[in-house]
Amino acid sequence: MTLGWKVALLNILRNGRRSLITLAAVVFGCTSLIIFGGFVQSMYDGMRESMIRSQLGHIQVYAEGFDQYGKAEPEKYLISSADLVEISDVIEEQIQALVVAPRLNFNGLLSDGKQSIAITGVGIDAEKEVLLSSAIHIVAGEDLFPEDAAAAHLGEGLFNSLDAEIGDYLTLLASTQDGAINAVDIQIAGVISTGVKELDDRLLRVNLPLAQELLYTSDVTRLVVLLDDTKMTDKVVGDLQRIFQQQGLKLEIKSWWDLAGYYHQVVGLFNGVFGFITVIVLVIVALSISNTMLMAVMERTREIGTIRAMGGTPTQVVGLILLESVFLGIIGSLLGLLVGVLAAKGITYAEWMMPRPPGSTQDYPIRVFVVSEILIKTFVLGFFISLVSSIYPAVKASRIPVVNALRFT
Amino acid sequence: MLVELNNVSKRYAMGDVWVDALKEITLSLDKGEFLAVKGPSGSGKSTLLNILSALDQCDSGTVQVGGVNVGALGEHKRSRFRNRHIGIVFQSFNLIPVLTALENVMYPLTLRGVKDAKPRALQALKDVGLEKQVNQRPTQLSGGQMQRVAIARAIVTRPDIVLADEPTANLDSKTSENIMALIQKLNKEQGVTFVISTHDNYVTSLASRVITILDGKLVGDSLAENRQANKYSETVLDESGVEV
Ligand SMILES: Nc1ncnc2c1ncn2[C@@H]1O[C@H](COP(=O)(O)OP(=O)(O)O)[C@@H](O)[C@H]1O
Ligand SMILES: [Mg+2]
Repeated sequence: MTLGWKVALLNILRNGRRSLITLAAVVFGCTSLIIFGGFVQSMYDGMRESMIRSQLGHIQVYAEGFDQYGKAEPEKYLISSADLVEISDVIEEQIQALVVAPRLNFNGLLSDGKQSIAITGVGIDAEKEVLLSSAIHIVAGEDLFPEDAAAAHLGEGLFNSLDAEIGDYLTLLASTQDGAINAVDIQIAGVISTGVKELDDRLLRVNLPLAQELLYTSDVTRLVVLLDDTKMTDKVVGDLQRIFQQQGLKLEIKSWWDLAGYYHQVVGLFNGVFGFITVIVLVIVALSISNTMLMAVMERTREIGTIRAMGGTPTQVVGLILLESVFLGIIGSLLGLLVGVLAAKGITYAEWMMPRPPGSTQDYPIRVFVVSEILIKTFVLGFFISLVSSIYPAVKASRIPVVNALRFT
Repeated sequence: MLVELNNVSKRYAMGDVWVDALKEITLSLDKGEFLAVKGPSGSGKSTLLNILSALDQCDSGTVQVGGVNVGALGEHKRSRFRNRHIGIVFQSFNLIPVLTALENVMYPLTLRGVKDAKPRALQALKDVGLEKQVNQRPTQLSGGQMQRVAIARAIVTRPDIVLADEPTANLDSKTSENIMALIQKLNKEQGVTFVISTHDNYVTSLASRVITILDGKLVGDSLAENRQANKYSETVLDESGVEV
């Protein structure tokens, strides 16, 4: 049916204005899917990276049993200082890690003399943490230095709820490994923001030795590993598991993926929203195409009758109409990809600021990723929707009795 | 016999009343005939041609074309049958506007995937005297030229029979004469069987046989009348022979 192709294409051109309106609908649909999809992807990416670079790192290493029992009795599942050096060496030698840093986590109370506030504390290696937690912003004050033994970073919300200034001394209370209450003095060196408000209301960072002194231990809770690239995570996790086994190290490994429950919730939610929007867009495009094809069929009833009279079968008529619509769909989708990609680049280039997402304390410029997976999906959807939405007009055209079709004026 | 209609009737509903478009038509047609169907407007000529061309089906009676019981075929087979055995020429030409003359003529062949559609279509266009207009679109052609393209399209598949429903009604009288001359030539030289409905006495004068329809009934058939006349004289001769 070589002529069928020509007839379909030329018929699209014959009614240029109507075809343009339909093309516009398809282009609009594709563009919105590409932009929204690319925006959501950039949001996932931003959220993921900021979680990794403010809290989680790419990989965390714990003592065996921590995952199962660590919540109830954290003090029993720590990595001892002797093991720490060995493990750090193994990791640094065997894999390409940017940073391998220890952390000691604890809960405690921070008091300014008038009130006490529950905090989530972490003892860190201040020098390594600069790189590891690069997404943590210092809102006021200065960096944490290992030399300043009592220095502490307070989350923004925590700082604001205290009656204190930078440089002031506060008392930090916590229970030691064996259950006694211990207290140390800390000095406010700076105020920090992780981007997550809930965390900023409770977070306290001190140098590791101070935390160890407070808890009366020389152990750490975990080793946090930062890689060059998030994509390498799975491979490195596999490598580490193998290496630890070979070396007889009894450790647990978790990737950011295992730890980022909130991230998965948000991704799930937005994927749902994206799916819903996709359906709406598809319905709009489908209605537009099917309307165009119904009008095209109406207008050409006589021509269809003629083709049937010459011996075209109902199936061939269906094919002819579908072909025309699929042409429209393909042209529209290709144009849509082009417009969508240009729009995505344009929006990213313009650096408009985005309204602050819930639970976040930092502003971001809007970024729209060009994701090849979304482009392919959009094109395939454009193709299928143009095919599916013209089935009804096509079947309708093929069922008009030939004599009636020929009589049609 | 190429075509045999036996007791064919067709009625249409017009609101609450039924209109008998054809009443018990019995008719047979030989290969190579040039049949003119005559009758006033609304008498049932188009209905008859539609049934002959397997475009429409009758309510009762049987229609055989080339030995095939057309009424028993389903939509798909009937389409295929039309493509192979029937050529149709319309009053308003019905060319496909986006295609050239050549492509229009090729179309019925491509519908069944014929490989040498192009040379065959070129030959058909030559047969109707349009070798110079092959690449023109219908809008660039005159009415007479368009009807020639339509005739080429109807004969390109070498059908058993070509049906033309008032093919000259949209043409001026000079052009009509040319078109009828072409049809007569194709009938005489290539042996194409034609059935043409018309009001026009000029058309009937060229036909090898004329039937007349009135209110859906076959009321006149020049062939039967001739036979009758011949039979009559034969009978007379026989009788006289016996008598002599
Ligand atoms: N599709 C139809 N629906 C209703 N009535 C029809 C239809 N086709 C034809 N008729 C009626 O059948 C009769 C014969 O029509 P037609 O075959 O077109 O006559 P002709 O071609 O001789 O003018 C007319 O009365 C016409 O009104
Ligand atoms: Mg008529």
